Amino acid sequence: MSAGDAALSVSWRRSGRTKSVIIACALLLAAAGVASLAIGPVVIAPGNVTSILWQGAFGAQAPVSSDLRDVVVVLDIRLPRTVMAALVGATLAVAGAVLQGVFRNPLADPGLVGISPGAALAAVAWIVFGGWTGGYVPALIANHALPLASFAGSLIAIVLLHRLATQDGRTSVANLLFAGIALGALANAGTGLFIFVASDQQLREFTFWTLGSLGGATWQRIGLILPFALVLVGGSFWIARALDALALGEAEAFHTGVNVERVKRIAIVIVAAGVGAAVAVSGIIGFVGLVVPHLLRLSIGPSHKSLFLGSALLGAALLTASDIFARTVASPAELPIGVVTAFIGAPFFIWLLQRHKRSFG
Amino acid sequence: MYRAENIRVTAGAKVILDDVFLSLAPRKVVAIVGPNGAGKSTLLKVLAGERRYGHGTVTLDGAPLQHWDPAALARKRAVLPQSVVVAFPFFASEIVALGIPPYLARTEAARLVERALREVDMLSAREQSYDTLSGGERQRIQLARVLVQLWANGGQGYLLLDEPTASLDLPHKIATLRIAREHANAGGGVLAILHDINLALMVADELVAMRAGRVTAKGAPKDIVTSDLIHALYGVRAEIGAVPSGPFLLPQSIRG
Repeated sequence: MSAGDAALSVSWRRSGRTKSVIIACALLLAAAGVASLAIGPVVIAPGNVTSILWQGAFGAQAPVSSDLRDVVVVLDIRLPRTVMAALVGATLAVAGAVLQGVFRNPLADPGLVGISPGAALAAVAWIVFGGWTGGYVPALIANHALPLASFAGSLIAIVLLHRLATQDGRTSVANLLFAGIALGALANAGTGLFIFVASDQQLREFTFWTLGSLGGATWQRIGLILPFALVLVGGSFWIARALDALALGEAEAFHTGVNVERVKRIAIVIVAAGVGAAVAVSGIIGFVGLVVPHLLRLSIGPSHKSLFLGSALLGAALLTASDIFARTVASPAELPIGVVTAFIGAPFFIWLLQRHKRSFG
Repeated sequence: MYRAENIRVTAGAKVILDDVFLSLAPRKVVAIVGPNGAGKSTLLKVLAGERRYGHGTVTLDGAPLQHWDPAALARKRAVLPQSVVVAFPFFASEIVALGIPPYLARTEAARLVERALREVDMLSAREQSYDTLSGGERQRIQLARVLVQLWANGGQGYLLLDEPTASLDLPHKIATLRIAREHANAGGGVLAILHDINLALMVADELVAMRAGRVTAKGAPKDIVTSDLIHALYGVRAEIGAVPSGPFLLPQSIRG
């Protein structure tokens, strides 16, 4: 929407900088993507990676002839995982940025405030009990049952969080974090209980749901989460300007012409969709939604339109890079990716709390 | 034309506004005065469309306020709250630009923002973070945002100002009242809550005196401001003088 542009065009100091930061984020993503395709048990030269991609995309003969093994490794093994890492990273980062905008609070992260755990609980519940619904569920829903279940779980978690943490349109940091911690603990306990009673065949390990993994990436799963991710990213641009106004306060946003209740409902639904889908395919990956928007606000300012674009690119780059680390550092074993993001994110979170100790009540 | 009739607002058992009538016409500046807790801000919120009222009607240009959708209402009236805490580190100019509706062209938006910043004497602070500004500077930035909102929609409409001069220094108090006056002269309407009776006397075409949720007196300032009214409102005695005795600073005479 054009008012985001208006906000940019009135600040000459920012408009130039925003452009270069966005370009830098895009380059970072490209670099992380190529690295992710090149690095692994078999290391493939970046030049080969790009020519294999070129070949795969356009069916043309690659300028450098690559051997078949490299083609299989790049296109069939590493590409789905890289694409999913980027998609999940973008989704989590944008979800964090939207959540922070609607709660008017820079410390909201889908993992920290209990939304991802809510999604995971619902996903696990579906895996355990979903079989009982037999043939009664229509095929279209049944095929998407897992992301739909975790969408429902994250939706319930956000609505509860909003109820618990917000009073008279104000969400204090303390209320948000306390309510989020309680919800997250409860959801994690529920997930643990379901996994405890479930048979081994029904579930992969507990760590998948609590610490995340991109190990199960397939094109089919990417297809499963793509519509949800698009709903989130598309919806976020739609409400970007309204979220800018919301920074003034709910009453003030209304004064400038924003339908506050509608914007909040849209924000809650799109965050639930994005987080639900991300959790359904990759478990709980924390802190991406916290770190990425905050870094961007420091460099390009808080205007939501450019913040969402930057968050999508940088979130994708960050999670792709984290995944390279997670699968190579203890190779052939894999570190849960949530461990990597927590090692980056938790110190960052502590630093944020210290920095804002005085300014947030 | 704003028209509020027989407004009653309650919070639990407490009556905040009762039997309030008020109208605000184009080209007029109406000032509301009264002690703390008189219901002035609540009345302003009712007129802004922000606060529900249990009883009575508010119409804007003949249509009941609840029939206006937020965007249409924003084209007709802008609201300056007492103080605004912004959640993220926006620049001053970006805060002002939040008053710009989405359909306005970029160049026009930038022009209006610059004009408003100049009007409130904050052009030099345009690329400072809003949260680093002082209370008075923040208030001026918010005033600029509110002005831009009305300018972007033809420059008329109603300004609802809740203590617009509260944290301003003297020259900026006078400047703010001048802006309000000019807005009225250009065809808009202004409703301002003011605590300084002298400022209210200076600027207002009509004074509304409130106490304990009710309108105590209403009319042209020179007709209704008496020693008895001040006593009825605030419980203190004060001389109301037309010709001051002894040396004094005449705020009305301040120039640039």
